[in-house]
Amino acid sequence: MSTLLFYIFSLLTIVSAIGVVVSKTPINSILSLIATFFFISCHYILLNAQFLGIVNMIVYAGAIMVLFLFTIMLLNLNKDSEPQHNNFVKVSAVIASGMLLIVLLSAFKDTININHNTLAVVHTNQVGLLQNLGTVLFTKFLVPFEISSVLFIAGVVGAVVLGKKEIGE
Amino acid sequence: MNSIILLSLLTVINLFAGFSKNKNLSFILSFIGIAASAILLGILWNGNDVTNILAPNFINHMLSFDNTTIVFGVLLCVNASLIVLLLHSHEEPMDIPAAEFLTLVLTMLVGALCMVSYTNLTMLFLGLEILSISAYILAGAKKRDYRSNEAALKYYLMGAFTTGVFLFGVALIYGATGSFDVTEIAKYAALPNPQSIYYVGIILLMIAFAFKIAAAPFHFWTPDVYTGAPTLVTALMSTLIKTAAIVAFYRLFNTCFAGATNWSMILMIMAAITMFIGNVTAIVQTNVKRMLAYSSIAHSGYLLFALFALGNNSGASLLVYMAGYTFASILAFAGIIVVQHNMHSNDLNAFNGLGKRNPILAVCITIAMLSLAGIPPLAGFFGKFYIFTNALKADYVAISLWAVLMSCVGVYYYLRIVINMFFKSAEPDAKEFILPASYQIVMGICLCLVVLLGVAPGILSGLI
Repeated sequence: MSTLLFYIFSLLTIVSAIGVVVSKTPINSILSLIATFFFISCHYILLNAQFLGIVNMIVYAGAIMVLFLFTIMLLNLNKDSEPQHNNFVKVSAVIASGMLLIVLLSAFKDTININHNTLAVVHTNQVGLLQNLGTVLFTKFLVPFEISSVLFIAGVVGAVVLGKKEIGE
Repeated sequence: MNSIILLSLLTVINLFAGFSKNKNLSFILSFIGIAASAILLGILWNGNDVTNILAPNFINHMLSFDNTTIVFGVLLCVNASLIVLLLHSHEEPMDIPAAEFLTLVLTMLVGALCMVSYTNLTMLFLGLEILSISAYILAGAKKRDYRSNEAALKYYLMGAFTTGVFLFGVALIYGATGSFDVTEIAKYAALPNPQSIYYVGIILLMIAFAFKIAAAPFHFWTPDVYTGAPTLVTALMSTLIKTAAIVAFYRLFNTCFAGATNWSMILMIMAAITMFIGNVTAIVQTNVKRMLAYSSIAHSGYLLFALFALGNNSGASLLVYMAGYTFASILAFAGIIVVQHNMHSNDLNAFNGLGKRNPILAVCITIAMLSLAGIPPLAGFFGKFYIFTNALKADYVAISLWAVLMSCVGVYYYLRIVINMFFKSAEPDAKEFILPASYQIVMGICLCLVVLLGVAPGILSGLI
């Protein structure tokens, strides 16, 4: 059952991710992106990471997407303001990302042969519960958890100093 | 750890100090804080870790303070304190207030200290992000300057993309090894047949680090960002960020991936390209800041030597090189700031006749340039000397010869500015340059250190 669900969600994720890239209008692109995030959250839940799945949905599919939509509406994109791409950049981008694709494909091809017992993920149905997550966060990962506050201070200070209106503006 | 806690607290206190009428308060606080954190790091010398106030077993999984870490940490603290001193009598108009600027320098230092002391990839990632986010903001510190905005945006977009690459690399390595811990990853790396995704992970991490130290072919942001950012921030970026990134790079590859060195070929090619692009492109630059940006790229090429020719002396040679480079760069950038303030230009011609107008400043810049070029007996020479000797010991003859050739190319553009200062005449109405007190102090310290490390490099190389 969960294998079948995995394939369905994967297919939907890939289809909506392709939709982000190929759709002509930015709004359609964004809506596809929301779908992509939604299906990725479904994957989290399949992996027993219920909390992460919900948070992913709230933060990305909710908050960040609204931000995206606002930005796009405020920017008022049209044909004139689209950046120009010359052919040299296009060709080199295709070559570079094609090479990356080959490397990744050949690397992931090998993962078929892995003995599943040696896999990194500890797969129990308890692993994603909020209690376990909290315990790990405040014991083993206490230092990163606290240090990340410095990251937020830097971000907040930056947002204030760069966004603040100066006297005389 | 205590130094990181101290600095983190200080970032918040510093913001409140900005409300004070006394403009010097936040400078004094930052300076004392950085000095105290350097001392707190120094106390831990030889594993003398008695002062931890948190339960140590949570910290030991994340950060470790061996002697290598401590030396580099103190170097970073000295680096940051010199920048703080320079900011004190900063004359270039900066649109963000000093207290906020100092807060961002302190957060940067916290990130840098995490990056030199991590034993877990989560800490490395956090350190890298704290460092980078602060740098993005500082690059845009001149809010009304179009070039500064461009620098901040360009750095931010490229940097955010690199963060994605870095995280993908970490995810793949986690997938292969099942751990973020460097010792666990090292255990896996020693096994006979690692999975392919592990190698892809290493490559992606390499790309992310190459971006941070501005090594080719991931250097395209460097000239624009270094030129557009306020000169003081450029000094910070080309010294503090580069030190932190190269040390993190070195620690990761020295502890985790030293067993299987099939990545060293990639780094070697990268170093060769970096030295070529940096040195050759620097020749045609007429803007001194842009020239130093390319010179900074070239120096990344030399730094990569310590990685692909990993040996027992790699850490020591990296330290000597980085110390020499840091102090010479700060000296050079301090000189540029003064010239820029008086001449309102970074152009090479702005330096014409500086030897007559302010001989002391001209001599300082000359010493900095000679040290960066690697002329004996200055610090830059011994950095290069140690690094090339290590490479030769490990039988990397061709690349070492290439590096020496590229250093010779480098001498040309470093000396060009010296020639402009001493052998070209200034405009007739030129007034004499005045050096503010804090500039005199910083340039004096840097000058002494560059000469001292050149005369007696054993002081540093003997430490680790």
